[in-house]
Amino acid sequence: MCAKQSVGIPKALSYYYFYPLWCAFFTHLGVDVKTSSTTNRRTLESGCSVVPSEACLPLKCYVGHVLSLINEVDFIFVPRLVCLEKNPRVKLGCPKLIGLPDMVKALIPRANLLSLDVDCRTELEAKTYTRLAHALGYTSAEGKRAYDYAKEEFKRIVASEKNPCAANASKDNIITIGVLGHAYVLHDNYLNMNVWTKLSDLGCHAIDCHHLSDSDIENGVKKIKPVTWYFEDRLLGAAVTFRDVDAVSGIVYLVSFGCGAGSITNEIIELEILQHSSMPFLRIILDEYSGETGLMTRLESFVDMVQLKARVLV
Amino acid sequence: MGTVNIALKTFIENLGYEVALGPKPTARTLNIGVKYSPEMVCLPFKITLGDMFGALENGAEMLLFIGSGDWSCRYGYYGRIQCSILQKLGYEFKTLFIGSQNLKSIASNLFTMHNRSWTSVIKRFVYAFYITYHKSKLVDVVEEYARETRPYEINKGTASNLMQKYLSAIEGENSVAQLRILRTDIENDFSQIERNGTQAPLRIQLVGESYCVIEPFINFNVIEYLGNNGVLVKPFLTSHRWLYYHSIRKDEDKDFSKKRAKKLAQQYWAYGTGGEDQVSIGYTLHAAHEAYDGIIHLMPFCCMPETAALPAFESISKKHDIPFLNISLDEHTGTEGLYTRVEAFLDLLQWRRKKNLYVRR
Repeated sequence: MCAKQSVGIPKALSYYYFYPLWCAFFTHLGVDVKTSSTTNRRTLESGCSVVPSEACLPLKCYVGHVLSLINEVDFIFVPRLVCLEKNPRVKLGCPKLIGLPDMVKALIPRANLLSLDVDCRTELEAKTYTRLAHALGYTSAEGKRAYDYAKEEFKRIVASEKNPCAANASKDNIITIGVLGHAYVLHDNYLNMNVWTKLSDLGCHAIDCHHLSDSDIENGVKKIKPVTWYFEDRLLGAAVTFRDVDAVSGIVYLVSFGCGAGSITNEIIELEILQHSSMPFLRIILDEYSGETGLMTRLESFVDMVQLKARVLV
Repeated sequence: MGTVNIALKTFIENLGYEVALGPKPTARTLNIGVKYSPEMVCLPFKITLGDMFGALENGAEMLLFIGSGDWSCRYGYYGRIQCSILQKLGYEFKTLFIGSQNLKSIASNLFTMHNRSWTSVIKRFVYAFYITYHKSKLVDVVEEYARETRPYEINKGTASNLMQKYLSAIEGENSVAQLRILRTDIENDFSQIERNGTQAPLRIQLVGESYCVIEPFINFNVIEYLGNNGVLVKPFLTSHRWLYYHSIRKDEDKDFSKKRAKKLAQQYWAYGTGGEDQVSIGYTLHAAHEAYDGIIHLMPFCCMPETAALPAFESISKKHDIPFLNISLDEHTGTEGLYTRVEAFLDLLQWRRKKNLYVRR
């Protein structure tokens, strides 16, 4: 075996969903894993300078992360998430996730990419990972073993983060707000401008839609007409759960500008999910120019409204 | 959408429905569509929603909604959201969603309409299909003649006028024999247009999102504009080909089929995600191999697949040394702004020709 190889994982987009899986997989194989540092102004600016201006904010951020890793590792891991679930319905990634490696290759030709095509329609996920191991010079058996280990590890880590919504709600007398959004927006404090601290400073208890238990989300999904996008489908399921759990008194939805799926899911939430409910709903669009004061003002007035409503009803 | 309406109207009328077409898209259609659409959604959504208001005002009782099924692009949700928006505004209508998953409901709807007799349904369907095919094909022929005559004509506008004349003639016709006669007339008339002796006009390949390429209202009739400026323009998709590819997977272009385009595009764009991105890339590569002078790429602002594919287009342009102009269209695009950009692009292409930068590959 040659000298220890290193793989860089950009800390954006799918990182926030699958990092534990990939990290465990590569480490078990014996490859060094390096992630880029948290998003800062420099990352975003370098991304914006390369990516077409119309693309969505997280994508610009992603390319910025790739650029920051480029001289530090042997390979940069850029996965392609095509189809993540086959049964009972096909669930796809959004076009940007499907075209990600092609796009990065076209934008940064000098980058040495390591790609992984997750497409459950044509082959099993395990096989995809064995091929990835092959590309790094390991045998299929090693790849298979690493994948099995990583899958277990991933399940364990993800399960430890999730709780049923009702148990998540605050026990004290403060209001609970459900926060919806993609994990790559909600868990990146630079992109969402510290929305979590802002909400807690305003005296609210905020629940992350990604920390809801699977059963909560699946029950929610069952109540509406599904969408084909994998992440958005789960997001809508979380929205239904927030609507139905009494402890939650308001919903905030963070969308990044240019997010195509966001424009559709927002309409589905407003027209289908919240149509006959009195749940307060705030949608915030984030882009690279959003000012923090703007966000603060909107959150403040929203929280005021929710508190007023709670007081009137009590 | 472009001239698709001629064919679709025939088809649906022959199935036994009365068609209440909305007016051709105008500024009013766009304004009303924009008013009630989500702000970040793509332009075709806004225009088709505006069209539906027009159709409802013309007395439509049932609305056909497009888009359903497993799409990664927003197109798959058009019908669902538009229906909710119209219902919220208090309009009353019956709905019919067109899509592979809804075949059953479409069939049952037809069944009840034709006195519950399957033979009559099938007869109607076969005839409707037959005449629609011929009509749509003829529309395609007229459009192609017009495109290929425009750069050469002496009196600008002759070909376009002739095209309009024949399009309305085709729309009124309802028998295949008459359409055949019309075809010879068309051939004669177009061959009689006076030519100015241009030898090698600039050749431009038009690619992009299907709606933007086909619908003259949203691309400001850029095909005609280019033709009148002496450019031989080849759109990668026409109404006829769009219709037949999406209904029965039959590709009408014999020289370079969609299937080949997709295969060629593999190395730059591995999966087609909607909005014809992969096919567009294939055609861009094809145009580069065929030594076209330039590529114009039309897309609605924030189109998910086309925006994602944009870097791939740019890298092809660099690698194969073929000029590439990307135009993203939204409700704020103005005629003059668009034409100025296209004009500047044409100047660049002319200059390349003069400098002999144009190498045959």
